[in-house]
Amino acid sequence: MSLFVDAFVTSILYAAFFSIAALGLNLVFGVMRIVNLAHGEFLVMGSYLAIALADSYGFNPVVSLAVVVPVFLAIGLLLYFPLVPRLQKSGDPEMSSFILFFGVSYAMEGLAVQLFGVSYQSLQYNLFKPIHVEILGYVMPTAWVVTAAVSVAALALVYFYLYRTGLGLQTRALMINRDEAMANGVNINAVSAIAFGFSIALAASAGVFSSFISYPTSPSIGDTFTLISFAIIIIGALGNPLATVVGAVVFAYAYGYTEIYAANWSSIVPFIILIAVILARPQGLLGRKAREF
Amino acid sequence: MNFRHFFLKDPKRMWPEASMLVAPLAVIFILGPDIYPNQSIFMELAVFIMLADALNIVYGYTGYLPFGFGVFFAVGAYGTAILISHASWQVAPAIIAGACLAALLSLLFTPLLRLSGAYFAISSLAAFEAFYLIFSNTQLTSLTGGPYGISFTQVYNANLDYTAAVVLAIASAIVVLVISKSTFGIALQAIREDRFAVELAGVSSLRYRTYAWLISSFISGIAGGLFGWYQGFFYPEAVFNLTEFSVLVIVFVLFGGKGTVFGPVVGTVILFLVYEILSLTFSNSLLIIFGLLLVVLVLFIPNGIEPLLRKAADLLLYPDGRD
Amino acid sequence: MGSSSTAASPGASGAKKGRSARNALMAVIVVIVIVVAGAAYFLTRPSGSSQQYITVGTLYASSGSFALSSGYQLAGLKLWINQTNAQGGLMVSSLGKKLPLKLIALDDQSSTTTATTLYTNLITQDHVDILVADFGSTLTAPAVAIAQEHHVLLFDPTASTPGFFTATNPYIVDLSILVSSEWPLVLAHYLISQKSNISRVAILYLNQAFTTAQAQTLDSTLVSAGISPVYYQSTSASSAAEYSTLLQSINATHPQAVLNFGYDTNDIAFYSALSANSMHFNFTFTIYSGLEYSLLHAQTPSGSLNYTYTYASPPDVQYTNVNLGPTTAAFVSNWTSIYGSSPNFNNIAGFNAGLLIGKTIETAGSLNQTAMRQAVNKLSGNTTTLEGPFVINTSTGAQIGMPMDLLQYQPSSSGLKPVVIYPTAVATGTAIYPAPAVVVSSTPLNSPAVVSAESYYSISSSALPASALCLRNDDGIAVSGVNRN
Repeated sequence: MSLFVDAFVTSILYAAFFSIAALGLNLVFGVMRIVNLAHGEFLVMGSYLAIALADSYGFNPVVSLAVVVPVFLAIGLLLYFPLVPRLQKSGDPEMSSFILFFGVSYAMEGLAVQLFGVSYQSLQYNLFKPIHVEILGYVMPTAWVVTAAVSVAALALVYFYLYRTGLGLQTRALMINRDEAMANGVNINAVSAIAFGFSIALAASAGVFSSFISYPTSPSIGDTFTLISFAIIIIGALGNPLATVVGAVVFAYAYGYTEIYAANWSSIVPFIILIAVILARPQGLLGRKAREF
Repeated sequence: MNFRHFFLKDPKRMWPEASMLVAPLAVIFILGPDIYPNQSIFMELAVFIMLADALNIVYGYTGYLPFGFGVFFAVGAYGTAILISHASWQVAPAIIAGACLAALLSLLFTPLLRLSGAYFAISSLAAFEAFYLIFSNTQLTSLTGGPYGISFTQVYNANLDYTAAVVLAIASAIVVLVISKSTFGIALQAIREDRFAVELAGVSSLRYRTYAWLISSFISGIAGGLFGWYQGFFYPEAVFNLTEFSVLVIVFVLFGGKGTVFGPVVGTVILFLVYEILSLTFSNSLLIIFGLLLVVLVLFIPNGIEPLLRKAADLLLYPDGRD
Repeated sequence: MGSSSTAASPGASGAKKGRSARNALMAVIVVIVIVVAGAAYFLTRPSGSSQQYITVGTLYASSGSFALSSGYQLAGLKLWINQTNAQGGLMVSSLGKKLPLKLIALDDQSSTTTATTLYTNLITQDHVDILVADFGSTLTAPAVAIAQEHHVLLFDPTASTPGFFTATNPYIVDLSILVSSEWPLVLAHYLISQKSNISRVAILYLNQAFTTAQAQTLDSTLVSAGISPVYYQSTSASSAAEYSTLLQSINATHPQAVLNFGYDTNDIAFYSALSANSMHFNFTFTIYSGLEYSLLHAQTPSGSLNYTYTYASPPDVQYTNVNLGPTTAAFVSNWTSIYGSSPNFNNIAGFNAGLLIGKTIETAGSLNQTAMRQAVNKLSGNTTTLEGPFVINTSTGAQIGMPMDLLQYQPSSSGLKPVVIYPTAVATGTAIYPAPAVVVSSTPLNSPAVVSAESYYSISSSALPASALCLRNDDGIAVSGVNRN
């Protein structure tokens, strides 16, 4: 198996993971025009919950999802009402949200330190049997394949919600033009609250699998996830949840291939691509117009 | 460049506000280290005031939030350090050259100024990360010290550095005051409010933004050089610190009140000291307390404290109430 | 309150406007003064009166990327302080009495900026007698210039960057760790001695001072012996997927030995990626499988550490002929009886720093910083502690004792056994090379092969995830235990 193909397969799994990691961030930006800097911290909290469930009850991560998703959906809904409507009333919600959610991320990191300590924790591949599977002659951990499968399922669900349900239609209307949507009777608070809850639940679901394929879980790792998610949604297109996938693919492959051919410079490449994309197509690879002039 | 933009409409009206700005800062910086003899706290305060003023020029007056704003600070620090350690420059010219380097870098970013809101914020963040990875790369060790960091302790002089930082922090506050009173500043604000109207009047909004961007990055670069000098030795992570030299500065400016002369200074003084007190007293819950504090601030005082202070002052001095 | 006057007479609105602006600014000044006064009130603690205590000031990180290691080091230092105080403190001959120790530990949250102000605070506010650096080079760096500026001796337990130690700065001494550029010397000599077996060496290192220094030393030593590494790259990666790609790329060079110089999180990713790819190399080396064995053992796929090589350091290397403090074995059993789990290297480094500080004070006979620096020089070369021989470069303060030997973890019936394999003089066994394949090879797996891999895991795993949490709690220091004193 050539190196090129190996990296191709690993990167596609990594892209799947980061699609679900970044998807929620984009949903919130698209619907509410706010930037959730605490996104990575919600991911980390989801990861801690999954690790606790595996440690205490031996839960398989897929089973843990049945707990994690409702819990974080509820947390998202509960957080929406005190935070977001008030934020929307301020002069510049987009920029105020930076500082609001920076505060939230600070508090959540502190909370994680108090609750879980500062050590690294991770789930082990042997939670799945068999530990490895072979697909097209390529052997990989079952955990990674499951991660990718769950990501695809989550994407399908979000797609279904946005394009096949009434609320989804309202959500898309809100993303395209807030004022017109309001004028046409879209229930902004209901639609936004659900999107916010989904976003948090998506982040936490990514967290369930994060220690398999990305970083060991620790309170300070949230920022890294937020930063990468940002890069991805900008490369794809801000406010277009499904373009996130494109961003994640570009990001993962940029990483994967520079790691092979120029490892010293690999981590810089996604950011250079980001700047290049943003200058050439500021609206993102799949976005609408964003340049001002 | 048309220097008429920088002429003051009415220089005389500046004096009362200038003295209101200089006097309390001078009191803090001169008496502070005597009351609480930890110079480095006040040194950092001076650096943060410079950064807050620099950010205010670009964010407050043009509405552009450069999230990776700290890149100019870091480049200023590195420029200074490299010139001193490799080329044995004197400190003052090295810091100025470092700041010029930061300003030069900002010119490189001017295409980003064409972007709107969040795009600009995030792409500057990407630029920050890219430059961090370049400066810390092992292949550039001979120039930047790479991961080993860079040392120039031979010129270490904490007291002189402190004095310079205090003078320049006050100077940067004055720069903001001058801008706010100049045609240049008024033009910037007009662009922020309604760019199209200004363009119709024949003013190039992009050029004005570029000027603001240049001034802002130059001041950040100075702050970086002074900070680096005070450290004597630093690792890339110490100056390329997104949380401290970008995000905290944004928080300070928003807390004080962006686009005002006094807001960023007052916001920095108060929040920075709160932060330091928390880290000395309740360090275990610092993250939680400070985080929640920010949430409360955004939700309940979204425009910063500067308008509130003005109102409070009015109430205090005119208790019979005026409109 | 009734309005006493009608100052707001309608005529004076222009003048009033100017005045109101001025008055508003007056209020701003008032607020600033209040804040400064409040800050001064809060920050000024009553300073310790005439030498009732020896104050030991240090920093630690309760959060951020260095929190874990920093906590380990502080726990070691604290144990030394408690034990010393239990014996009535330290004799200071110039004062003619024994003084108890008082620890002031401030929390820098892994931030170098915060660390700068806190180090200054320890010196200028708390007037500490003994200044001890936080864990590692990053958080020690801000202290170097400050200590020199204030003529306070910086006791450095675990910062190993060679650049900190210069002949012009007498105010720093490295107590518990070999300078990082010297770490891989034994390893390099071993690899050279095995040249006939191991000729293809791959080196992957993290883009950080500590790890880059080691990789560069190893690379240059090997190259000068005629072994040119087949792969030599730096990375800033720390995720399993990224390491997976890096390993695929390393694997393509067909190395016999793969050496990964990273921090704990990188080493976890390294072993996870090895397992993910079902890769096997004859010789693997990481730093943290030795320095933080329990963490790595709990957080990597089962069997990952089998036959892996790492630096041999206490507690795996046990020093018996010590002339200061307990032997390594005595310390380990004491620590285990107190905390319920065995100490790791950074625990020992913190404790060892304490031991040497105590001996320094007793030798100096005073708390004078220069006298203490001279006392440290006197100890150098004739002191052996639980961490090994204490030898510093007396002009720079860099540590050149406390060698980092080479060990291999070899499976035995009672779990993994650390076997020191080089240098021969201290070896407790011989290397098993090539490392027997743990996981069934990377040739396409069919079902029976997978089953056999599983059965291997179920037999050999002594620390499955179920037990991982309790392991961590015993061995990582619970956050509540790192409170300030």
